[in-house]
Amino acid sequence: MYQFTSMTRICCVIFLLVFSLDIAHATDDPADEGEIIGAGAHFSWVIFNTLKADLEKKTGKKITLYGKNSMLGQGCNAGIKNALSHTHDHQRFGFVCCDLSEQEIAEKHIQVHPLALEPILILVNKENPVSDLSVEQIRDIFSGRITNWADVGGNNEPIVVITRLHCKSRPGHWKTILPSHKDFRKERLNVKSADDMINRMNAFKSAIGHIGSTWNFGDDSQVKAIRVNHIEPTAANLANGKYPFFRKLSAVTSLEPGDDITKLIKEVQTGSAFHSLTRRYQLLPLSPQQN
Amino acid sequence: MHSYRAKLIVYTCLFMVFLTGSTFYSYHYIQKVLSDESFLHLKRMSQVLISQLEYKKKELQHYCQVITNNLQLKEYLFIVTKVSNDPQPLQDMYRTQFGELPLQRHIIIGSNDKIISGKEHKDLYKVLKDRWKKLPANTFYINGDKGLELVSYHHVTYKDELTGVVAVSYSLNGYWLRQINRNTDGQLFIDYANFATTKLRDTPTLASPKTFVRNHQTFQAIQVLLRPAMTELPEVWFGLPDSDLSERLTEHRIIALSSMIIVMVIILSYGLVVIRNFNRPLSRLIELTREVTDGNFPKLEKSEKKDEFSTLTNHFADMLLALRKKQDEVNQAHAELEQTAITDSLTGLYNRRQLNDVFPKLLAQSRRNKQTVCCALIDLDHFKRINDQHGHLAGDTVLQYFSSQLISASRENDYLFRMGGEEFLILTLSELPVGMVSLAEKIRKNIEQSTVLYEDQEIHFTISSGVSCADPDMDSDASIREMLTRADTALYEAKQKGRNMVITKRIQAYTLTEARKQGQQ
Repeated sequence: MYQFTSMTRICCVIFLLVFSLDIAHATDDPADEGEIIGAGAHFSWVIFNTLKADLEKKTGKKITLYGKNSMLGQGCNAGIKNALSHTHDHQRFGFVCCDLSEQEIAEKHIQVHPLALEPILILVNKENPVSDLSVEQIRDIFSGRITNWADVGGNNEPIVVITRLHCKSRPGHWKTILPSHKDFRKERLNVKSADDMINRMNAFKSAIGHIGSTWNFGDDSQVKAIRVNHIEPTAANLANGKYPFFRKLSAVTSLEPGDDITKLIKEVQTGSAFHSLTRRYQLLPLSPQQN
Repeated sequence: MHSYRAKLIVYTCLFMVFLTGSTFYSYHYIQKVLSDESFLHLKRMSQVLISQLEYKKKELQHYCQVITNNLQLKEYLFIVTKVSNDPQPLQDMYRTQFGELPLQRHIIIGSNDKIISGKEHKDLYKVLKDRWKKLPANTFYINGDKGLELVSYHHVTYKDELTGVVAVSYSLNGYWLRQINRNTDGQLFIDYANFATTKLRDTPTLASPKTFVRNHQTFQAIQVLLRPAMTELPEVWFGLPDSDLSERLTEHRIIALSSMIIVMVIILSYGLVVIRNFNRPLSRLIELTREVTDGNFPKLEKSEKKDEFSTLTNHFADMLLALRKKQDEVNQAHAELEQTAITDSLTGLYNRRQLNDVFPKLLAQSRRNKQTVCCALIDLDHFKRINDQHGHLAGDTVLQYFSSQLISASRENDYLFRMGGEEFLILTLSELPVGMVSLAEKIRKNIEQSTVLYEDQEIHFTISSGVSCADPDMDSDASIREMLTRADTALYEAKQKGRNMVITKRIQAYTLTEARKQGQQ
C-alpha cells in the first residue's frame, strides 16, 4: 500500500488551497476589474459626473457613477455603503451631500474627503413677486409661523412649504435652515427627491422650497432662488459667512481606498476642472484638511 | 270486426294515431325544452354580463386606487386642502397624469367636503357628499346626469391623514354596451321609463322576463340587478334575440312534421303491403278450404318464401296433394268397389244387381229410339256334373271361358250379366229382336265346338238359352220381371227339350201405345 509521506501531504494541501483561491477568483465578475464605481447623493454626483471624463483620463480607469436624482435614503447612505464595499479588485467609493459626524465616521470606519460647500438655495415660484427674505422670515415660513405671502410682501396667498429633509440624523445641510425636522411646519410637503421638489415648485405658485446649487434647473423651470438677507447664494458669500444656508459635499472611502481612488479624489479636490465646476455652481472648494 | 284484416287495419290506424300523438307530444316537449334551454342560455349569458360588470367594477376600483395611491396626487391634495386653496396645480397634475385613463368622469373632494376638481359633476358630488367619509372605498351604480354610471371612490391620505376622496366613473354608454353585445351576442336594454321599484337596501327580486323589440328584432330579456346602487336606477334588462329560438323551433317543427308524414306514409304503405300479403294467402287458403269441403282438391303452387303464410300454404299444398292422392285411391277403391258391387268377381261380367240399374235405362232409351230391349238367358248345361267331375276350380275355369266367349261374341252395346251360378244374361237394345236370337245361337254353336283345358283335362260343355223382349208399355220393374219370366220359361223349355238350344218367347218389336206416348210427352 502506498504510504503518504509528509511532503506529499503538504503538497496536496497547497494544491487545494491554490485551487480554491483560483475558484474564488474565477467567480468574480470580470467586468468589475479595472473599473471604479462611485455612488451616493445627487448633488455630489453632479461633481463627479461633470468631471468623469477628466477623471478617467487621469486614472486610466473606467468610472461608473450612480446617484443621479437620488431619493431619500438612497443618497448619502448608498454612498457610504458603496465605499465600504471597496476591495482591491473592486474599487468603490461614495459621495455624500451631508456632513458626517465624528461618531459616524468612527463607527463605520470610513474616510471623508471634503470637496466643497454647496449653497442651499431657497426657491420660490418665478411668479412669486418675493425675491428676498430675511433668515428669520425664511425660518418663520419653514416653521409655519408665517403662512401667507402677504406677510412677507408677497401676494395674498397661503404659502406652500416644500421640503426635502434627508439624512435627519446628520448635521448640516437643511439643518442650517431649522435644526430639526420637528421644527418644520407640519402642513408641508416633504418630497423624496430633488426632482420632485422642482416639480412641486413648478406646480404651486405659492410654494417655497430648498435645493442645492448644483441642481440643473433647465430652461423650462418655473422656480427661482431668492436672496437671503439680500445676500446672493454664492461661493464668495459662503466663504465670508454671509450666506447662511449650505451643506458640505464630500467623497467617502474606506480606510484603505487604494491608489486609484485616492488619486481620483485628489484630482477632484485639487484639479482645475473641479475649480471650474465650482465656479459654475457657486461651490466653495474645501481643502483636503477641511473635514 | 271479426277478420284479421280489419284488426290489422285497426292496429295500423292505432299505431298511426300513437305516432301522431307522440310526434305532437315530442314537438310540444321539445318546444318546451328549447324554450327552457333558451331561457337558461339567456340566464347564462346574463351571468356573463354580470361577470363583465364585476370585471368593470374591479377595473374601475383599480384605476381609482392607482390615482389615489399616486404620491403626487396625495401631496397635491394635501397642499390644496391644508395649505393652499388653489386647486389648479392639482387639476393640472390630474389632467396630465390621469387624463388618458378610460374614465368617464372624476371628482376630487377635499376633507372639508369641498369639490377640488370636477365641480361640474354636482350630481356625483351629491351622491358622495354624505357617504364618502363612512367607508374608505366603495363602488356602486348611480343614475346620474349622464345616465347609468358605475362609480368608484377611494380615500386619499397623506401621512396617515385623510385629505380627501377621489371618485371616478364609467358610463354604461353605447360603446360599453356594444362591447357587451359583442361578447354575449345579446343586448342591454336600459329602461329609463321604469325605475327599479325596490329600495336600495331591499333584497333584490327579479321581475319576470320581458320582450323587447329593437330594429325589428324581438328579444327575450331578463332583468339585471345592478348592485350596490346609491340612487334609484332604471331597469336594466339583458336580452338575446328571439330569432335563434324561433328558427330552431321552426326547424324542429318542419323536421317533426316531415318525419311524421314520411313515417306515416311508410307505415301506411307497409301496412297495406302487410295486409295484402296477409290477406291474399289467407283468402286463398279459405277458398281452398271451401273447395276441399266441397270435395275438390285443387292444385296449389308452393311458395319459395319463408314466412308463416308461405309455410302454411306449402303445408296446405302438401296436404292437398296428399288428399288428392288419397282421393284417387279412394276413387279407385270406390271404383273397384263399385265394380266389385256390380260385377261378378269370377267372370268380370255384370252381376244381377247391376241389371236393375241397366234395364231401366235401356227401357227408357228403347222408348226414345223406338227400339226393343231383348235378352237372352243362358245356362250352362250339366254344370254340376263338371264341378263334380273336374272340381270347382275346373268349374270356375269353364265359367271364365264361357264369359270370355260371351264377351268376344257380343256386341259393344250388349250388356252381359252373370245371373248366378252358371246362368248368364245378355241384354241389348236393338231395332230387330231377331238379332238376339242370332247371337244366342252363335254363342251356342261356339260353345258346342269349343273345349276348355284345365290341368291337361279337356272339358266340353253346352249351353241352353231362352230369348225374350221387354214390353215398353210396362214400367221398368214389371217389364223386366215379365221379360225375365218369359226368358226363363223359354230356357226351361230348352232344357226340357234336350238342352243345347235356343228357345224364344214373344220376340217382337214392341212399340209404345198411344197412351204411353202421351205419357212420355
